[in-house]
Amino acid sequence: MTALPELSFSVFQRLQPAEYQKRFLAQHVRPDGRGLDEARPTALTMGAISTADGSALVRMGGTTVVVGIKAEVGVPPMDRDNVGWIVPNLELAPICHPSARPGPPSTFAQVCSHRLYEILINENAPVIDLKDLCVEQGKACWVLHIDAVCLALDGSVLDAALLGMVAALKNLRLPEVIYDDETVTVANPEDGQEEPPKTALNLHHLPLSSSFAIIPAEDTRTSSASSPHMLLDPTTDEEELTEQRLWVVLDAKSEELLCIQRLAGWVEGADARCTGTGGTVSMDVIKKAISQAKERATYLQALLGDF
Amino acid sequence: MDNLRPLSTTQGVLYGADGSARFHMGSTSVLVSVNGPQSQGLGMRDEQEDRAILDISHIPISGTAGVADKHMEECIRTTFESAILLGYHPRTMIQVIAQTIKDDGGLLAASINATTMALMDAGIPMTAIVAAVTCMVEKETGAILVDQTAESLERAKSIHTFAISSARGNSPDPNVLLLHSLGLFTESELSHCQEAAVGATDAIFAFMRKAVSKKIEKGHQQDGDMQED
Amino acid sequence: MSRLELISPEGLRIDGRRPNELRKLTAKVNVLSQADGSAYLEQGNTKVLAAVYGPGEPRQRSKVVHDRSFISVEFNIAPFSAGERRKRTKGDKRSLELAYTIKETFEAVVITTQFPRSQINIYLQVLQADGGTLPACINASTLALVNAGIPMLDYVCACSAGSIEKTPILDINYVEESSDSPDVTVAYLPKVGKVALLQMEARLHIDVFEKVVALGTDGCIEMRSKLDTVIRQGMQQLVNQLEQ
Repeated sequence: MTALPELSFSVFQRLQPAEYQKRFLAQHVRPDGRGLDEARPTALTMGAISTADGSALVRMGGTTVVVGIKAEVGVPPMDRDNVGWIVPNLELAPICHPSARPGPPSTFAQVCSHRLYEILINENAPVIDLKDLCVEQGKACWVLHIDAVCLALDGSVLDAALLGMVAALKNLRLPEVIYDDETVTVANPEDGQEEPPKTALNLHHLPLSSSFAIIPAEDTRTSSASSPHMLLDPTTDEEELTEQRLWVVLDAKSEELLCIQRLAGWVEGADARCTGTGGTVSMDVIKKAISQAKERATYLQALLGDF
Repeated sequence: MDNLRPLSTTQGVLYGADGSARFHMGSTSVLVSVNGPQSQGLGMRDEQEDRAILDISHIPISGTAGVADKHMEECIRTTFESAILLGYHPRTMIQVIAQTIKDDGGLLAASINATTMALMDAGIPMTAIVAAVTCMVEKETGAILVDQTAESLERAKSIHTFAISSARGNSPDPNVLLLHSLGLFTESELSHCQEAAVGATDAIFAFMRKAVSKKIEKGHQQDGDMQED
Repeated sequence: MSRLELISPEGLRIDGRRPNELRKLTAKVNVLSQADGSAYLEQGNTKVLAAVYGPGEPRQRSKVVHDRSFISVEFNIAPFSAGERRKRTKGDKRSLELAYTIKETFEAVVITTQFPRSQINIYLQVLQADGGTLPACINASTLALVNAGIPMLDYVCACSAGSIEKTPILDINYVEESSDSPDVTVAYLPKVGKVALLQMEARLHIDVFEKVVALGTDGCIEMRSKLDTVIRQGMQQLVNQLEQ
């Protein structure tokens, strides 16, 4: 009998990704060497983009997101004349992943943008008070375009984007504006000799998030379902192999929860594909996720520095 | 534990579709049509060789579908991917179109309930039936309220939407297929909301069962139309 | 308001450079793990990220060319990259034109016949735009293509040049670009000695034109040694990693 050719790890990983992962998880370790509750190294740089009024660059393992805020003067909404607007958007640039397609924003990008919008606009825990953006009641207000561009995508893009958005808001400096009878003048450094003073915004709440990939554990000896594996800060490979994900957002200021969502195991470039065939979330898993998310939030808050 | 607004549902309202249903929760109302499993309209790229794919469209009352509708579609898809036996119909597509008729709070929950009824009408195999409900924690009182109107939801400190499967298996825990919580809340508020949601969905399950059995009783009469007693 | 003085009486430009001086260039290859080749390039305040995927199977059947590879260029500019926020960042005519120009330039230089029936994707992301977006994109693409190991005739080095009050200036920035002085973009193959791209969208006297193009070409030659250093550094890093 001829000997089978020896298969390398990468071939095995490619052909049997689920089995490959399962062997690792049985040993409570992940293919990239992390423990299950271990996040990837996270780096945050604020003020990297000089053309933006506020900016931040986040690297979470292989995921890189750059966020820039552009402030424009606009008209307040019709129903509330003493507030401004914030317009968050997440763009998955075609550069970020081989499967990302050029063209209009994918469903995935739109859904992500909406989720980030829901967090930033939360009426009960607003990050910034929209009233702070009012320039002149009913006439003029600030419009903050918060654009996050994902340059490299390797899982947990919501976490990176949210951290980047919060950091960019912290980094934001609004120029002085003079409202003068229907016209708004933004104090311009070219007019005067010295740079006019710019003001930072108060951040009232601090939403910090954690993603989890939940993979059911099979106990081979007893064949009974034990508590599932919970992978903090999953990579794209891990997101693709799971049937469900959990996104937990907490407010680092009040230590209360802002959002919990169950997300389908789903990735960019596979818009109409369904990967899941089952899976539910139990309160046990949620409780564990919350406690891990709390730890992660403490770490992320330290990255953001003082408030 | 049933503080739901009046429920009513009608199956088989659309003649062109393989299955359809209208579902009212109070004045919130959604009409859902289901087509499939079919291969028509399925792009080569989307086809899955081992299962059916779900194609969900959520259509607002007026205008074109926006980002919020996309998010709603994503929530419905997450829910039903875990409930429909997609592996029974490989290389096909199940198309679900949810048309909002009126939104008076709890639109997502009503859409999910209507989708369950429409899927049953179309005879799509599922592991269990799914019911959804929206819970809120009131800002002033901290009271947990179920299935509230849009006006009442404005007083919420946090809003939680649950979709729960009727199959509980051996586990004592409810089978939560969708969880979407937003606002400012604590862990215990979340678990209280889940308890309330379990009670409320049990009532919806009972209602759905009654609706379907009434329809069957009517036998060859064309439509099953029933109101909650 | 008086017209901005673009060249001071001492002969220095608005950012303090001499007329024939390039902006500071910093670049790095191998910045993205997912791409086959990638590069990040800063030319003054213009910041560009380039990624190359391929050669691989074409996404669209209709794009297959039986005897050579097909290059597709996607150009994307971040909304916060310039002074004013860009409302539509994708698919506007300016971006499409830029992408097409880059595609044409590289189709002539990449040895596409080595990879028949395949596609090479070049993705460009502009993070900050401060003039000279096109040359910066071409330079970044060159780095990324070399990094991806795709055979080319030579480095494609690009540089912009212009003329202010008959003085030819090299590597123009945003302020100079937005004043109505003419600007020329040259992409040059220094080893081969051929011009791959020459683009001008203004009126320029033929006597000055020659000088401007010559200056631009000189800039490209200087650019080549800078790009080469970046590639060699990237290679050295790889070698060091292998040795460890």
